[in-house]
Amino acid sequence: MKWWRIVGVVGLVLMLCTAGLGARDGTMHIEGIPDDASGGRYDTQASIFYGDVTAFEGAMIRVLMDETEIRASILEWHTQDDYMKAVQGVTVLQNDVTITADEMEYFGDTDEAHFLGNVVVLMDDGRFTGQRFVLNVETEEMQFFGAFAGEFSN
Amino acid sequence: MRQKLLPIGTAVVLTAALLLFFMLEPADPPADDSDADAVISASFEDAVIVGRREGAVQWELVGSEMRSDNGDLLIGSLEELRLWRDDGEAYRIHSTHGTWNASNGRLHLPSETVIVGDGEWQTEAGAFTWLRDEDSVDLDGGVLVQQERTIVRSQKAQLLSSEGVFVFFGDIDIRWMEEEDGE
Repeated sequence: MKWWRIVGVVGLVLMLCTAGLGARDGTMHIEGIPDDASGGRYDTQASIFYGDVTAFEGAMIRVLMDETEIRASILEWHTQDDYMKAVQGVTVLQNDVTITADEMEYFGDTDEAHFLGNVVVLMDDGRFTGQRFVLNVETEEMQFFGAFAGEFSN
Repeated sequence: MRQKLLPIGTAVVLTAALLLFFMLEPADPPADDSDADAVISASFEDAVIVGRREGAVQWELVGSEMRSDNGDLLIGSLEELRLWRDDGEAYRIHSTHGTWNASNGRLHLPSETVIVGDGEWQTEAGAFTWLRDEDSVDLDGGVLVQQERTIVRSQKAQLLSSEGVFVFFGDIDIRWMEEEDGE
């Protein structure tokens, strides 16, 4: 078992087949909401959808795009700006990679997903932990900013 | 001569029925005075009802085959309903028939209804209820909101008219489609 701890900007290119977020076809499902309760709203003037299921036990927001699934309890999506922000219980599932964090932001203009707070990247043969992690969807490049730790298994 | 008098007579009866309906409204108007100066005009082919709030047009209903029934105005054929927001933009609502109650400010359209709003969005719902005094619309029976390439579906929703915001109830499904090349 090996550990690394590096301070600074570290770039990692891994074999991660990622799909884009808002710019591609996709679906979002807000599930587990009682019929008489609201878990989401859409502002037609600002083109912003906002979902919050924190008040409902077992409820979940799921975003599905190609091979990627995003789960969170609160999600804000700016449909025209191609910007998405997810907080509370953020989990991103992509093939054999799972990323969890306190918060995730996706910026469509740069095609980057930013993960903030208690970031864990879990793969078949290892895991990374840190506080800030950036994934460039187009180039498949992953970067940890600041201190992070990595662990690989044989 | 009889054929000429028939349309005129029908128009007179229709106008009288509408006037009678509004004469039967409660003496005390709603607190917001939103419908106190509703203006009615009717013709043989159609009728237009305009509701004002503080002097400004709040809503306008174009339809035909209207008749009063125990305080309700039954709209047999609804051509279009327009709801104006404070900023001057209007929602255009299309359905088949409905019921308007002036005393409680409730317009109910029980069948498939389409709402076209500004910002290039459109909504379809199985039933539509406009609550004048609350400035909101209850949508039921399956709701679909589409704006550009985004579609939101739920069983029930509420449209906050002045804000242009939809609040969805129960589970929600959203689908968006990739932009085509060249767009």
